[in-house]
Amino acid sequence: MIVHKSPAAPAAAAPAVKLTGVGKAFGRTHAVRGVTLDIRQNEFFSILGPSGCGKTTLMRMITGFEEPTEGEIALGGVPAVGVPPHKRDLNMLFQSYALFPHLSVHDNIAFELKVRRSRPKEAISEAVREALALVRLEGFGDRAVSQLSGGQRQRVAIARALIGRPSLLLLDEPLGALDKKLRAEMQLELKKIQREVGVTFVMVTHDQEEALTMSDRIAVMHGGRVIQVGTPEQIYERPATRFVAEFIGTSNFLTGKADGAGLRVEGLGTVPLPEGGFTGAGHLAVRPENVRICSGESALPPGWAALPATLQQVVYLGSATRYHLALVDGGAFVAETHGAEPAGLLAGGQVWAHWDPRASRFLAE
Amino acid sequence: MKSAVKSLPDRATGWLARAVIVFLYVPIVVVVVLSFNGSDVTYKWAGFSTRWYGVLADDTDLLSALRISAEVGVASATLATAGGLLAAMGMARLGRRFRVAFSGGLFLPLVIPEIVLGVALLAVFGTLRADLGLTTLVLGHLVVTLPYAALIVLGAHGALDPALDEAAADLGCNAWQGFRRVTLPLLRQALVAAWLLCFTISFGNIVMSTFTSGVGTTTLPLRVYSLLKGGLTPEINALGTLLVLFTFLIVLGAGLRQMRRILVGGDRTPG
Repeated sequence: MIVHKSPAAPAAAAPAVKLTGVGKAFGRTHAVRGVTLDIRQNEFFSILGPSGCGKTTLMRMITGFEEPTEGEIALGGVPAVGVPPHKRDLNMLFQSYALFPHLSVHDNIAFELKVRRSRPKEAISEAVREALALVRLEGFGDRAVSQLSGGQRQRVAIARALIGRPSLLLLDEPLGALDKKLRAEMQLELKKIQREVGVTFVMVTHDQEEALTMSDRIAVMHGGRVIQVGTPEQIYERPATRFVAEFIGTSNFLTGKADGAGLRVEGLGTVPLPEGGFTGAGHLAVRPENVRICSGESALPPGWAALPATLQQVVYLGSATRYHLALVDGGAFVAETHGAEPAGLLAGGQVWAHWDPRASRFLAE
Repeated sequence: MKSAVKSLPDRATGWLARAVIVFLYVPIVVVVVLSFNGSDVTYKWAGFSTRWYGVLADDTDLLSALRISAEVGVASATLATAGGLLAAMGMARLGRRFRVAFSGGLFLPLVIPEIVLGVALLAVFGTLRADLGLTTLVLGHLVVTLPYAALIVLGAHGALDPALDEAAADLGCNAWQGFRRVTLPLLRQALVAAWLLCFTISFGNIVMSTFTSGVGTTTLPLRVYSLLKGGLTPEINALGTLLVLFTFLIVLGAGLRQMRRILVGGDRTPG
């Protein structure tokens, strides 16, 4: 039943959401500033950032619950600023689900079709049945909302949001209220539903793992601005700023001044950079999984960056082992290895932390 | 394990609870019993009789007072409930600071003695040269009941998830459709409760009525009060019995609906 609405010819090429210099100020506080962003048709796009970064405000401007104080918003090529929420071709999956407690599951899902009077009665029941099948809740139509578990409520909310075949579905922290196991299940399920219905999904989340696993592309927000837009791999492997490198996954940082020889770090000497041509102050980010440790200098691969350190703690994680190190300047450093623990490493011992410079990333200040 | 032998304090509280119920219902039972008194005075039993019901049926004075009270009650309860609903919805759209000030202003009349309000209102009506009558009576009762209605509706409205409003808009409702399809049905119970409470308060009101009723708009409580001078007859008991019966039916009706909802499983509380 749910087929992607065929948009008018010129709109087909237009991005699902086009933000141009969008900003929002509440009094003197700027929640969002200068966001320019294209979200493509049919992609699973995430807006990722810590709480207070402006991601929720940005989403509410797309839905129309807030109006931007500057900039332009276009949905499918049509200017949207000033258009009230009920006239926008999009739906939202609310964090609290916002199911109507006075209506049955069936009536919740049928709500939009009844309000918009877009279809005859028999067609509505048929559409509800199909929507229930989409979220695997066949036969739940007569239940009261209060009789459902958290996961079931979310499925009803998804069915309700998708029944009107919107061009765009906005998801506000969709998995936040679910327990861990259910969350992993719903991650895959949401992705599957998105592929099935072919609707552009825009998810707002603070959970980097969620964004990495589900998204085609991610926009990382911080302080009201979009810092970086890219695929999960680009965001993880090539973070644009120290903030992104810190927020997505974990990173070790070395701070110093770059020149032709490498990064000069006070107290640690010169560390090789991934490539030449960097100058000026900056940070070198190294992912723990790219750091190896060994006890003897002779075992160091040629050309790798290496720093002497004291092994402080070994944490066995099951699938990996994490080594907490103290560098000679007192700074903390973390290495993580999969597989067998290198022999002869004891807490308190002297080791070498080393990595392939190409696996590190220089971030200018 | 539950002990079969209850301690003295346990038993004492049990008996106290029973005593409270008895205390609350003894007057009602007495009124009902005495309404079937054949005697001319309320306090002396002279055998079973329904003659006072007959007297009541022919007492146009008392019945017209009853009608006035019902009319004023319906009008002021309806206006108060509507006002409470509008206040709740308006306050949800105010900034926090305004909201605090506004709710303070709304609830202040609750702690002002009614007699002060009555005197004040009479002065206002006098200044406006308004004739005392049904309108002034309804307005006076509105001053008394509106804070109660606002209190009930505000509480219920505040407990609603604000996202419900947005969800309605998101799913195609304009403001009116959102109100009719989501807000109103979710507040229905609170509105019914507010209306019933306001009606009851208005129906039994005597202080405000003293100041705001005019010639020909004597309410039932005022009429009964004035009868005290000429001596009460069991006719008043007959009237009281009928009112108790009427209230009982309303409560029973509401209670049955509640019961049905619980049994059928249409629990309305979200979350």
